[in-house]
Parts: sequence; C-alpha cells; structure tokens
Amino acid sequence: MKKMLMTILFCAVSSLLADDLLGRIIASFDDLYKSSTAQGSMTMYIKTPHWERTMTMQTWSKGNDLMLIKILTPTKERGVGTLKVKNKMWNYLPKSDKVILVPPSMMMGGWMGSDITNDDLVGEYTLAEDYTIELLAQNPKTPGIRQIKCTPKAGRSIIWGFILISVDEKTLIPVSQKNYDERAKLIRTTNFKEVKQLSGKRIPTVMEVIPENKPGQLTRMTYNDIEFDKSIDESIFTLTKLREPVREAQ
Amino acid sequence: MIISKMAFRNIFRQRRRSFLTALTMAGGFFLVSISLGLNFGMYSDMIETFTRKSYGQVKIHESTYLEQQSLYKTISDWQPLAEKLRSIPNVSAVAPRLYSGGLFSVGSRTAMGSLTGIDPIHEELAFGFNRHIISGNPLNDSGGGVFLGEGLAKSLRATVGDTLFVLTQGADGSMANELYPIVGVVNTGSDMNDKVSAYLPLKTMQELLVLENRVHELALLSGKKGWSEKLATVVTPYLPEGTKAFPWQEFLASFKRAMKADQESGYVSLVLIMAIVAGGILNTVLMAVLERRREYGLLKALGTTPRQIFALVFSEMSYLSFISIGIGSLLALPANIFFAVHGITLPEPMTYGGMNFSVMHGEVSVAAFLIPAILVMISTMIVTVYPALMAAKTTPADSMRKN
Repeated sequence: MKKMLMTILFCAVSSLLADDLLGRIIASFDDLYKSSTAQGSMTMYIKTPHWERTMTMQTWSKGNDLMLIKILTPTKERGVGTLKVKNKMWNYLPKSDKVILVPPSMMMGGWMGSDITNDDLVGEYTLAEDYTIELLAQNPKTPGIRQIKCTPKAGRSIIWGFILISVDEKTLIPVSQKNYDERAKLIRTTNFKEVKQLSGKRIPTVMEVIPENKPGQLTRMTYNDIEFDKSIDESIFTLTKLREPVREAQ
Repeated sequence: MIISKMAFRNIFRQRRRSFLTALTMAGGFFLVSISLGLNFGMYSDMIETFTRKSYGQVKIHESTYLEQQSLYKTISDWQPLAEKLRSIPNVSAVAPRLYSGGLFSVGSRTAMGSLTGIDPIHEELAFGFNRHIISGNPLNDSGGGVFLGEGLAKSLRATVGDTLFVLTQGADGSMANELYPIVGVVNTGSDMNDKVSAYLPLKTMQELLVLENRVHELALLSGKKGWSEKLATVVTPYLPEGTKAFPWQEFLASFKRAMKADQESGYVSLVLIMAIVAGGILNTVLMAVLERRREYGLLKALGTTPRQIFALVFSEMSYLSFISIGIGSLLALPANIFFAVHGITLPEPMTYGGMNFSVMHGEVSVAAFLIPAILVMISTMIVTVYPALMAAKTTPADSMRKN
C-alpha cells in the first residue's frame, strides 16, 4: 500500500515537473527572437544548386503583429522591404517603386528566394495557442536534449502535420526544429546554432533552414546584433515608411 | 487467258449496268480521294502554320529542358552556335529565345503571364514578328520596350504608351522587377498565347533575368516543307554537349497526338463511303450472276470447272474496278489540285491548338490516290466472293431447265 502511494506521488510530481518544463519550453520558444520590441541587423545567406548570395538587412518588430525588414545589401536590392501588419504582408520594390500585397496563394513561396516562406515570416501562429504540445520521453542517446511534438489544433490553417522541436533541457534554447507533412514525411529541418548573449538575452544567433526535398539548398540567417525592448514608434510599421529609402550605411 | 478475255468482254455485254457500277466505284474513289486530300492538306497546313509562324521546325534546348522546364536550363554562348547553324545548307533561319513566367501589372490591373525574350532581327527574319503587330512600332525600332499579346493587353486594359510592371525571379535568386514602356500590341493568330504573352527584346530580358549571353532555345527553320526530323538529324553534329535538337513532333507531342486522333476519327467517314459503294457493287454483281445462270450452267456442262467460273466473275469485277479507279483518278487529280491551290474558305474561322484557320487547303499526295484505290479494290473483292461462289455452284441441268 505504501509502495503504491509512493508510486502515485512520484508520478504526480514528475508529471507536474514535466508540465512545468513543457510550459517553459513553449514560452521560451515563442519568445525566442521576440520581446515587446526587437530591432537589429541580420545577414541572410542563401545557397541553391544554381546560385548563392548574401543579403544584409535591418529589422524592426513589435510584439507578434508588426514587423519591418529593409534590405541594405547587395546594392541592386538596397531598399527592398517587407512590412507585416497582423496577418498581412507587403513587399516594396524600389526599382519600380511598387508595393505588392503578398496574396494568400503566395504565402508558401520563399521570401526573397530563400527557404524561409512568407508564411514563416507572417508567423501568426504560436505554439502556446495554436498547437497541442506533447513532451516526448527523454532519448537516452541525446542526454540533456528534450523533444516536444507540436500538432496543429483543429481549425488552424497550418500546413504542417506536426513539428518536432529539440531544446536544451537546461537553457531551454532550441537546437533543431523538424517540420513534417501530414504523411509524417520530413519536409524541412531548421538548426539553431551559435548561442550568444545579445541584448541581455541568450539566443542562437544562427538559424539554418534546410529543405529536405531540395538537395544542395539551404538558407542561413545570422543575427549580427539585436536589441530587445527598446521603444519603437508604431508609425514605422506603415506603407509610407516601407517606401522610404534606407538611411543606414552600406 | 481465255477466262480473262471472257471476263473483259462480259463487261461490255451489259454496258449500262457496267457503266453504273463503274460510276459507283469511281464516285466512291473520287470522294475518298478528295476527303483524304483535304484531310492531309488541313493537317500539313496546321503543321506549317505552327512551325513557320511561331514554333520553328526544330528547337535546340538544353537536353532535359522539355521534360522539366527551368530558368536555369540554358544554352550558354549561343551566338557562335547560332552562326555555325546558319552556315549549314538548308537551315534558313535561327532565332534565339528566352522564356520566363511573371506577374504583369498596368495601373491597378494585374495578370500572370509568360514573358518571351526575342532577338529583334532574327525573330523578324524567321517568323515575321512585325506582321503580327496590330498597333505600335515594329520590333526593330522598339528600343527596350515590351510587346503585349492582344488578349493580355485587353485584360490589363493597356495600350501603347502605358508602362508595364514586370515581376519575376532572376537567375541570381533576386526579385527581378522592372518597368517597361509598352511599344506594341500583337496578334499572333493564337488567341491562347496572346492572352498570356508579353515579348521583350532578348538583351533587355537577359538583363532582367540576370542571364547574360544565355538563351533557353534556338528555333530553327529550313526552306523545305516536312523536313523537321531530317533537319534535327542534320544539325545534331554541330551541337555542344548537353544540348539537343528536338523536331516539332517532340516539342509539340501532345498536338501531334491530338491531330493523329482527329485524323483517325476522320477515317470513319471514309469507311462509311466505301460501305455504300460496296452495297452498290454487290447489287450489280448479284444481278449479273442471276441473269447469267443459264450461261454458267452451259459452261459447266461443257466442262468448265467451278474454279474457272469463280475466276471469271472475279476477274470481270476486278477489271471493272481497275477501269473505275482510272476514271476516278482522272476526276480526282484536277479536283485535288484545285483545292490545293485555291482551298475552301471556311464560313467561320476554325480554331485548332489556339490558332485560327480560315482557309482549308487540299494536298496532292500519292496516299490520297493509293488509299482509295486499295479501298475500292478490297471492297469489290469482298462483295464479289458471294455472287462468284453462287455462279460457281450452278448445277447445269437445273439452270438450263428453269429457263
């Protein structure tokens, strides 16, 4: 009887602990590159079997709903911008002075020719609200790494069947993210690397996206610097600001 | 020998009946020959229109381009290659082209479409691009401007002088976007293409796509009709590795299949014509045999074998069919020539594969005479078997007594 009680108690405690861990993982992942505001600069390297190129850009974001990205280099594309307001997204092309609202049909298209889709950028879904999360059992082969399985909740227009996210158990910093389709086929792997302290927060500064169905292709995003929680005027997230030329040095 | 002599003479014993039979046969021959001539003519007209007006008889592509088209499957350093190809005898024109899909917009109207880069001089030499222009400048003087297909211009509500915004993907992964003045509107005769196509001078398009000195295609023409497959073989030794010459039968494979299926369904009407002709022949032969039963009985009584009598009836009809084919040919030849030269103007233009055809031409070919000749002979032979057997089986005593 005593043994049984002990077992029940142990199970209850460990499930509570697991719930706590799961909660922390979700919160940490959803806020990884976000805060009340974030602004910084990034380098994006894209490699395909046909070409490779590197772009640098400036980013501003506020919460989950507002984001502005402006390309600094290469010179040919300087000033190209993307504005996201809630679930809408516009691209600005300075060469022809055109603002294009990205239609829903192009949401799964790559952003600026990369493996990051427009949909990823809009990112209107969060783990906490739109996925059912399950903490998978510890894999003895990868000590210190925990994996969660995220299955989209009903009614969300999420194309993935499920997502597996591996995180460091201690720091809660993600190591990798694997996106599967509804037939459980791996479509895309994202590796998070080079954890650094930026603006008081430890984040993986390199995000490498590898599409599994396109051999020889990858996109690497590197955060050069990022500043969290600095006040940003909401007026910069407007079409007028999107069309303004970039002032930062090349 | 005597049998064939008798058979030949038998034709002229009942002249009116033989004449009517010959008329049925010759009429059948004539109809089949004309409809085949028109059928062949129509399809060769279509092929000529497709190859000479827009596609080319042979296209040179990167070897796997037709399986899966891609922006990156290009022919590099195309100019020396094109020069080399032009020096081959029988190659009359070589036109380079570059293809891409894109988003077009004029003002607030937007459409998806296809963008083709064409060489102002060689496109005009090969396919006469300028005669398609319904408004605007000729291609040679267009500078860096864009030509729109008539349908596309309508859906964008664009006219010459407007500015077209083009968004597509550059070969370096960038969002290739540019504004071009609209310098002309074209009607290429293919409504399907004109609804989606825009044309840019090759150099301008190479700059847009970041594909300097590269093309997706070299379209070739020879001075000879129906020479596509031969032309592909002739140019193959000159091609660099990784490229291939495709005759229209390969790059328009689905058109070829549809055309063949169409052509075959047309043969049903020929079979119907021949069935009517065969009915007429059967009637005449049966009458002739019944009329001559006493004669066959007498022949048999004199020692003629059933086989000889069978041969007699059969030979008579064969001679008659030869004569009819001769008469039919004499009638069909001028008619086929007439249709080949003047054609038939259709009351309403017919659309095939997106191209409009308003005149249907005939064609004078050996097949348009050989096929009806064989059909007339075979159907005559088939329907003669039964009456000839009846004649062969005649019992001498019975047949002579009855009369």
